[in-house]
Amino acid sequence: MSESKQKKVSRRDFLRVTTTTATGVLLAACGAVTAPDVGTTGGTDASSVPAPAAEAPAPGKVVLRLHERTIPYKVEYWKELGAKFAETHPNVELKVEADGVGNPYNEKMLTSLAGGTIGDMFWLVDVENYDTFRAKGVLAPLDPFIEADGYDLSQYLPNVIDFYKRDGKQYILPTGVHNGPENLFYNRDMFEAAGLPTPQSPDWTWDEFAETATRLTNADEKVFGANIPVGWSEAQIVVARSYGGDILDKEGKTSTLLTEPTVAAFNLMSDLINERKANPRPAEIMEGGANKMFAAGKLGMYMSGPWDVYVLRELIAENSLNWDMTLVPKGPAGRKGQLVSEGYAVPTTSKNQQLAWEFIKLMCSPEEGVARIAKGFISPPRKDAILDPKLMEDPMYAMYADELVNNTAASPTLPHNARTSEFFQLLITGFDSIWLGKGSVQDTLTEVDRQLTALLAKPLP
Amino acid sequence: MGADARQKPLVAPGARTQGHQQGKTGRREAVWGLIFISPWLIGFLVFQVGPMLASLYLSFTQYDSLTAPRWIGLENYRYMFTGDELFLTSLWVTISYTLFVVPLGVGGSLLSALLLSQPIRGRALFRALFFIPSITPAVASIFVWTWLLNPHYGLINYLLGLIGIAGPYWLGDPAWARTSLVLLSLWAAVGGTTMITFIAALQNIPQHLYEAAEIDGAGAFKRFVHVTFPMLTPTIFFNVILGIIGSFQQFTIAYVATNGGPLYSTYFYVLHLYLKAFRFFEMGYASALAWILFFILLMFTFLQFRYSSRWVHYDAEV
Repeated sequence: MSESKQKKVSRRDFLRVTTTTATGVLLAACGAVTAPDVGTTGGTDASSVPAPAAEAPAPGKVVLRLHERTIPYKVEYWKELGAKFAETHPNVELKVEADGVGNPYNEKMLTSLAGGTIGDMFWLVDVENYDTFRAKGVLAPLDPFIEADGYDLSQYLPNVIDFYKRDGKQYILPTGVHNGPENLFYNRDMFEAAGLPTPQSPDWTWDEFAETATRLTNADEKVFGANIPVGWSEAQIVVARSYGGDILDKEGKTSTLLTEPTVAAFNLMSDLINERKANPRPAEIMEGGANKMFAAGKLGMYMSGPWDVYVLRELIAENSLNWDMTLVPKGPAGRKGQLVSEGYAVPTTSKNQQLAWEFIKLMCSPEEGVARIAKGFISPPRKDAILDPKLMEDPMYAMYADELVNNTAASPTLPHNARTSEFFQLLITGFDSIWLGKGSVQDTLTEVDRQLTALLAKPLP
Repeated sequence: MGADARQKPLVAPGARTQGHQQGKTGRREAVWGLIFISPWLIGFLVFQVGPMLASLYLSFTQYDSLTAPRWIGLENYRYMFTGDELFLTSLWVTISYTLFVVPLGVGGSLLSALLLSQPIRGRALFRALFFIPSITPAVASIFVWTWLLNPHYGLINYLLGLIGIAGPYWLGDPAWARTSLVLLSLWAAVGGTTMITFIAALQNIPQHLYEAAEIDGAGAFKRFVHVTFPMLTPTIFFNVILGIIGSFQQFTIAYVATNGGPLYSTYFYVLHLYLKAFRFFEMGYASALAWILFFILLMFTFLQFRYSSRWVHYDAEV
């Protein structure tokens, strides 16, 4: 009996020893694993691994991590830019992490910042969370680098560069600016078939626009004449401003929703959707967005940003559809854009701030700017890039560039308490009852005005 | 000798033979036991209990995820019940969603289980086909459904149009959005693991009960009502509790398909929580919301257990 007992114990001991050793080896192996996932396939790298230190690549080599939204047609662009940067900085490897689009991207940035896994640069846009992040002190000011290099800011559009300056500190050097959904893409073939003159001169009015949209609408074929993207708050602002109104006042402290011009603007949009049935409701937009609908020949015209030039080129095969781009109609107060700008912020925790600054300078150089515009990307806010003579030879582009440079007076007014995401969330969901035809324009605006005023009264988040 | 060997358990000399083992070896055994379950235990403490305790603390603070939390006592809870209009909206949306999804889901699964327990040809294939929707990735299937339910270009309205029905705006109409989400959830839920548990439970019903019922002259329907259903009540009870807990925590479909709209008709409780936490920089308030949800579910579950004896028949009572 005791013999077998001894044998049993010794087998158990053997098992214990091997298990403990195996676990120990496993833990050691896990600890040694580094190398976050490369580039462009959605940002789900092992969050338990801390931000890569310089130990992962070869000695002397630095990995510069840049967070960007997932934009498929930019993959090649980043590879080229990374290679170009490596020419002057051979020991630097650029790693671009694509972290989703829209709100998921913002949420990923927030959690990366909170968890300490953020890289060296991350994309921010003025109409989303830039202001809040700046107010929380997580962005590194670029002034030391600007001064050390004697960097020339004179070519930059003043309103754009000033937006990213607070208390004398420059937090972002913007790499892109556009005029919001101030551009109108239209289907030449549809206009010809309907016998209507194409909007050659961007001097037409919203009334003409509404009439044209009604004429182009074909309910049987499920074709809509126009799309003002009412579910996109910048579009609401563009229309409101063209009437002389706005959502907020200049300081971002008071709601101006119930002013007469703003109400008139919303009446136009409601009329297009509910009375004329010439504009789809946000829920009726085809999967993939208005540009897909346009490419499928289901939209006569639609408002969007300049990047849709590139998207449409990809979507629409040669000769299958003749389309063109112009500017949106004028309202009683003319045409006002909603200037939207973006850039890459450097978090305070980055250990490669000098290198990040060098890369930002490359992105903001006039040559890079011109190259980006030629590809259909949004332009850096530099006059020498936007007004490049070669680019200005294209009359369509010249119209856009002229509008952009001379429209800098209309920079976004945002809530003074940096509650930007809540503000835009309200603009997206609050007006649903108008677009659904369930509430009158006046009643809905009154309700949203009430909610907006409550929002503006809140303290900094 | 043989009988003796069976009766004498193999324990170390000096150890008691009943209850816990005492003495040196007993303690060693206990320690080794703990060591072996330590990976799970550490994971549980670090990834579940730890965050729960942290969120309890955070629910009394104002925390934006970027700067240090600031203690504000019961302010979050006060705001929840007096200032937050969307709190009650989200609660109501979630409750009304649950009221449809749970009975229809459990009922539908029961029906499928009954059908798939019949001796039919290709039964295994049918079971597999019914089960597949529940294992399709949620986000992918939601995208496909959004496409199917598009009022103008979607397949559903097209098919309805063929038989002369003008389909509603589905996800774009506040009156239909929740219904659309219920349909979406049922597509995935009916035929899933709930159905599997019912199939297993059906197989466990003793045959002799059916025979006795037949002898008494009970038809198929009466057999179901008086034999099948009562014997299934423990499984139904189990699935209803899990169903309620699950549907109260519904988030993905609202986040992906509608983002809470239109007009907050699909603004689920956990979506509200998520937006507060990750979009509006109010992690402290979101933590308070999480704990209130916990208490609501606790209360529901407690009430169900309390009243279960009235309708749930366990085997011992047959």
